[in-house]
Amino acid sequence: MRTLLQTQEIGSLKKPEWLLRTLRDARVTKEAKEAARDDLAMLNIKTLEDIGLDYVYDGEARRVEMYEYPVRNVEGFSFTGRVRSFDNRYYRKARCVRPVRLLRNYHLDEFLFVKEHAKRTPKIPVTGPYTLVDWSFNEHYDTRRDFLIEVSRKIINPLLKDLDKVGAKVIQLDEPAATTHPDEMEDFKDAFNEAVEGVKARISVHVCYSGDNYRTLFPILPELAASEYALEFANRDSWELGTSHDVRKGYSALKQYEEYAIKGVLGLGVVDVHTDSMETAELVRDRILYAARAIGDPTKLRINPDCGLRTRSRRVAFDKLRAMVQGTNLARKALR
Amino acid sequence: MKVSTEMKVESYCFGIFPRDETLIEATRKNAKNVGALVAQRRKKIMGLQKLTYASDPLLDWDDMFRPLSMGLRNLEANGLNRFFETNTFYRVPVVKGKVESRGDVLRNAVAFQELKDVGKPFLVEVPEPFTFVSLCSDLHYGNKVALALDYAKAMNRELASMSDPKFKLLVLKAPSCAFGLGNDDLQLLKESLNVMLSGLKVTAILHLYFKDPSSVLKKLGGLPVSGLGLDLFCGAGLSLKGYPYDEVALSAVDGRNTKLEKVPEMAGRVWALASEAKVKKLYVTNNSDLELLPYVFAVRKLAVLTKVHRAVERWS
Repeated sequence: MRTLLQTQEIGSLKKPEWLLRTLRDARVTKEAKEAARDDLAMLNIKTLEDIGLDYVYDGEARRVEMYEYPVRNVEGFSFTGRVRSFDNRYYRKARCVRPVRLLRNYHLDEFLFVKEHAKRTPKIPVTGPYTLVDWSFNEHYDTRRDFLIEVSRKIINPLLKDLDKVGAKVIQLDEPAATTHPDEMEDFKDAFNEAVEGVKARISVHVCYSGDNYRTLFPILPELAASEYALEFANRDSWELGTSHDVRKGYSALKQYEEYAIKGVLGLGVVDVHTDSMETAELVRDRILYAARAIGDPTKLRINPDCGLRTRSRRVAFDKLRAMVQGTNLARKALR
Repeated sequence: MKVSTEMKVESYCFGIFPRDETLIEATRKNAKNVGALVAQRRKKIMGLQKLTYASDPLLDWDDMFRPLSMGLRNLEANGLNRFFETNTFYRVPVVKGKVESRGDVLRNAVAFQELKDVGKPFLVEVPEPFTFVSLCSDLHYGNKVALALDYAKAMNRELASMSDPKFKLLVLKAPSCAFGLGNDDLQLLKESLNVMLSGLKVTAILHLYFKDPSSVLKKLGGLPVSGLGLDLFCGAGLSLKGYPYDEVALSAVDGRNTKLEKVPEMAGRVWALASEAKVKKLYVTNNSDLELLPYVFAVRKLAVLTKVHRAVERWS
């Protein structure tokens, strides 16, 4: 595997219509639906490898989405209705009404499938404890912290240890809610560290759309038991070429890398997942070169999209990943 | 417990109420009957409000700014931003020129006729100027005070267009105020509220929520409002000694958690705090929009709110 500027996806890809039609069709057997999911997982793995990513997964082909899928596999939660995300977009939000208990390792089968079929290293995304708790109502635990620590200890930690046992080498904990409550950053850190306690796999944390340019996140990164931080920047950046501070304003948070003496690897978001506008390889290159200079060491960079690409069509998602790989190749040349 | 015979107790529920599953799906499909469904559901929810004041559940508002940011002159609704510390997002109002009233934006955005027909006093709610300037994106003024004053002037005209003998209460949604106010912000708030409320014959309550109000309470005396609305579900040690107004609105139900409040416990807490504040009037309310709950739980919270009001009323 390359050592300089390894590339990776963050997680989700859009499910194609043919799969959704198959899953919705009451005449299709459970076995046939499972086979359809296998087909999509295989297709995603091979496509990501053909594009040239160093770390791959299955595009989360078997998951409904990142919250409902895990929570449906945990005892203690009850789904009771939808809550607005924005406009008329809603998500199902569960209530925690009893002590939590892991019913089954909901990522085990999918990981074993990816491990068997991938030629590149699999990187498994797992929704982190803080996000599961923040996106749920708490009716059982006395405090949010109690709830959080229980989810870390009883759900996420055993799940990660299981993945460890079957050969997971890289695990990414997805924590988009991490910076929602600035007053709770210590709780986030403690829960995260409990979740990965005793896990041997390399741990990455993905935090996106922090809303405060990561000002609340950076101070706790040195104490977080993760060796990689996959963050989003491109959606706040300009589309002009260049490596000056003025042009690369979306990456201004990187000043904090030095300020807080961050030691870990940065997973650098270089393509915006919320627009069909296509980044050029040269734009990706310049974003990488700017970041390499800002953190002072290009060997501490991995390259990824801002977030999972499930909101884009599959064609746009794959084109963005191709632009990302091509731009990374240009950056490698420039750095040599 | 100190018992007051002078304190009057009233109640209301403010904020956007959640859509039920049928309305969510109809809106998603852009169904022809969405308007009729909204009217039907609105009537049902207003019927569930066994409270002193009626309020529009604002079922067709996509966030607390939307009809204003799409209706007032030189405002647009643009990109998404997180709504405080929730997992719900609002479209940022973008200021592209001088903010001005059209005279009927608010009246058309709330069920004015239904409110007038309901047979009891009603409330209207709007974001107050400091929260507006804190959450919008200003591409025109470059000056918070000028923007706040123009917004206040525009809203004053919009509110004046709703003049009605039953329009008795104005809820000023002020979550940003709970997160801290500098001296300049306080001055801005005071001046803009003076403009916004000028000539209106309504009781105005400034509602702070999403944050423990303790740290800003002492600063908030002397505003041209009748009282403050306080979120009792943030922080535990709220004291209302020296409270500077004759009226207070205290939340008996939490719009951010499905857990149902115990009526005697909340009634006791609300009563004790109002007694400590030595107010002449207590409003029993919710802390924030119930839209952060699934529909069935919002309905249950409304029932709890009614019961807490009745319990407190018995004591008074």
